[in-house]
Amino acid sequence: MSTAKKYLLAAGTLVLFCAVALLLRPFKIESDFFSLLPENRRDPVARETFRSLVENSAGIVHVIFLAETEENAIAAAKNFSAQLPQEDFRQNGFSAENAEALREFFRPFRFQLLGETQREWLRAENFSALKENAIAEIYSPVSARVFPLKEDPFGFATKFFSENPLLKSPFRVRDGIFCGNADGKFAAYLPLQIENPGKLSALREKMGKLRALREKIASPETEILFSGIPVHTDVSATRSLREINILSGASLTILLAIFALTFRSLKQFFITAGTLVSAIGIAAVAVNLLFGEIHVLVLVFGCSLIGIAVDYILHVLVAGKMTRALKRSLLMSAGTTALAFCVFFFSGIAVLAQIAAFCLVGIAFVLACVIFPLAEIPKLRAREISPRAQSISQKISAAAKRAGTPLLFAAPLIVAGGIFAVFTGKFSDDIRGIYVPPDELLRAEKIFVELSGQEPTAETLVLCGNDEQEVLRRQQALAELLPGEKRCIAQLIPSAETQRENFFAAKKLLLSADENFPIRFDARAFPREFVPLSPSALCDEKVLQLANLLFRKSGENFFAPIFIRGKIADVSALEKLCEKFGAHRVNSVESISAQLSACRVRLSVLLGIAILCFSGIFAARYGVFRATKMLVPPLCALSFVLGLLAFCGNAISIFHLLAFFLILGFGVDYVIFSAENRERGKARLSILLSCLTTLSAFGLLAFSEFPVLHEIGLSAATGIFSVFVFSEMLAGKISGETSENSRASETANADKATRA
Amino acid sequence: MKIFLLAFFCMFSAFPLRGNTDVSAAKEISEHFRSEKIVAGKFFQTKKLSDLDIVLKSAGTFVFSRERGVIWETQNPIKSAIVIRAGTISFFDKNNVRTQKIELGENQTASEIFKIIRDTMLGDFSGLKKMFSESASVEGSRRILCLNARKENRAILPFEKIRIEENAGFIEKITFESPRDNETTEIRFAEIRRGNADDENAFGKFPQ
Repeated sequence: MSTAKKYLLAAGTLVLFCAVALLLRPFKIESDFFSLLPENRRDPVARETFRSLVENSAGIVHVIFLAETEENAIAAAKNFSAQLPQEDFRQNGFSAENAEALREFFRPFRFQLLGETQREWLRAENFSALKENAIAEIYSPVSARVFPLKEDPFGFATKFFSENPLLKSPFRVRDGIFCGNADGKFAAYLPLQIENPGKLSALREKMGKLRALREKIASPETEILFSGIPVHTDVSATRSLREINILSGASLTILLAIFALTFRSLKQFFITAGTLVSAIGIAAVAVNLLFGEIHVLVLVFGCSLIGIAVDYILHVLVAGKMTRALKRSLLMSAGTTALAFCVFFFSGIAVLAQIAAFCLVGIAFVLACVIFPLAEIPKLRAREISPRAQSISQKISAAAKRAGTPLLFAAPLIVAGGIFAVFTGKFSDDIRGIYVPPDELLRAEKIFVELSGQEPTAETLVLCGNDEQEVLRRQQALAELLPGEKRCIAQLIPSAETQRENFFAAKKLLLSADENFPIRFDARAFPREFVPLSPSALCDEKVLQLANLLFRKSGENFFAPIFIRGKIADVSALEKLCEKFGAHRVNSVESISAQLSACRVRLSVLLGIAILCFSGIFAARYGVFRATKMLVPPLCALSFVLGLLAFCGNAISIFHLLAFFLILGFGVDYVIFSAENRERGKARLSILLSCLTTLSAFGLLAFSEFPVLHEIGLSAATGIFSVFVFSEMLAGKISGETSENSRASETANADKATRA
Repeated sequence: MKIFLLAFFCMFSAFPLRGNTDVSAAKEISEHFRSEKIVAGKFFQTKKLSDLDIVLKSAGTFVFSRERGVIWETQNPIKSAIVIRAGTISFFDKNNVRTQKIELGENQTASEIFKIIRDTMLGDFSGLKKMFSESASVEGSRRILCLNARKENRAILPFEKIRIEENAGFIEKITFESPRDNETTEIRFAEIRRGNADDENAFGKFPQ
């Protein structure tokens, strides 16, 4: 079979593999940030709670109108509301219809859901107090009753609605618009529900309509602010797209320039790009097959990391042919890179395991392409390399080499400095540092919190089980013992036992004859039998949006969270209560940060293990003395970056560690190629090209507005540049090149350049 | 609550209500009321519950103080009191023991009542326009001011209509209607005293 047919067959096999894989496991991209966290992925309670929170708030935009007078704020809100596209948005505001629907829903249960004082009087059979209180209400000049006297003479429902913390609104209602005060001004508030948010593009389109409407009705008297998850999503997506366009455009331009100047042709660029794109596609399919899904962060980081494989292509293109030494270097480099990524499988973070699998498959594919097709098809190989490019790399190498010996002596100090930085430096595992909204959005969120009086939740405790009433009973008992302000469904709907007690006590009161009581209650108005109200019935009816946040059914299980506001003074007492009632503490900020801290420590240990593994492999292959010299550049680069971070007062996070793995991976590649290629001329150029192409990717990430990408980009770029410089300084010593060999090699290259 | 308070504020004035259909009637009340600091007297209330075919009659005393608040004390057939002070409305039983206290910030209806009372105490009736539409008419020697709750505010107000009847310079009757509950409450006032500082001592009976 001819070479071309052989590779066509191989390509066809790969395409078939991808098709079958996608049939077996349709492509699923996961964007749930929650799955970044190690333990919670295995905890269905935490996942379900988080999902409930997101679903109930993901489509709500808070529109706030601030003005010096209430009239201006309300007028602006009414104007905005009148022009809102009804097909895209639904207003969740106050309406007489909603109030009526809620009232009618609770009507059959009005004798089972009681205010605290009335329940205590009923339980104590203190009927005289109840009657006196009711009579005073009846004779009051104005009574705000939920149900007429003939249906509820003792005002049970009225007391329940007025006393229940979950039914109190922080807003006034004026002309059907929520009003309040914030930022020293009058505020009107419109909660908008986005209809069918769907894909990100649809959400952004709808947010665009809101912004256009805001521009249209803008006036000097009123300021209009947006807050809520969709706003953050839109802002992040806009920033991301802008950055992707700018950074990828800049990166592409730089790459094109590098390839064009070096190879004097763009054919090599398209070969490289085509190979990498194929590698990314196959890697994505493989990860989806193995894990059932692929996280969006894997696609983002994986695509960058596969850039490591550009080195392999560049080495072959520069060399012009596949030699045994080159093949050995490629296999050695790929092997050590694979080892570095394999440690991610032990990190305990699902996303990192996916990144590892993605990169292993991608790099293996690129390696296979490099060793076979690229090396064997003459037309695909490079023409003469640009002499200018070779000359530049030669000069850089010559300049760097002079500092080789001093570096060897300084290396222990640099490494010691890095270790010192680890012990004295700061660490940051605060989850809130991952995403920092722009100032305008932060202000809008702050104003909404002030307006709504919604303090952030300090703790979330979740009770779950497959028996709804059992879950409710436990929650009711736990909530009674918890200090501070809290919100849970048990405050609105007590257990069936409690409702039964209330029902029969109220029945006894209402059906007892009393001539002194002005209202004669018709026994036919009392429900014939007791039917408990369940949280799931309230959620199904959708008359109270809050209910869906406080109670959820998923499969056979029920989840009932308790949201606690304000700092918990005695955390150990809280944990004991959780243990007693079988409650899960879910994802408080400290909990997530503690998990990230544990992951960071674990990754640090794995980084150390990877370095030890490389040491062993190098010692076995090249001897201890040479292996020590080979480890100097990556270790010094890592120490240099650590020291720089500590010097600048930057805290080290788990994302810096990802960058350290990159620095280690590239550094090891550079020293391997130096060690395996005694004829350093072309290896030197390919290493330089590798450094430049990598810097064009990661260096530009340093300009990102997103803290995570900025940290990774800046650390990786600094480290990769450092490891390149250090490896060039020690290149001669690592390759075992003597002075005579070096001069002979340079002379041969110079002659070749002159003939060209 | 706000209606009866508004009503007896009106009643204390010895001014004629103009029989026109603009808001000048309310304006006259406002202009007169600014001069009142303490007003006290008796009330007679008749409440008709049409659904139950019952008429409830009660009587009591009231005190209004610009600085200290309002006391509405029912004395027969039952003894109870409602006391409004800055920020709260409290309910007391026959022994002057508090049975309920409402923080106005947590209850919109109570808060609206308090706001109207406060605005009224300061002689500013402009707040009424936000919640009510006004109309005035004349029937013989009787001048009548009608306030109707605006449609969008009815869900949060306990009644829809207020009718104030003035005769020979005094407010003689206030009626408020709640069609939703089929209730009508009528209050008549008598034995009014103005500017008597001793009336403020009544606040001492009710704990803060």
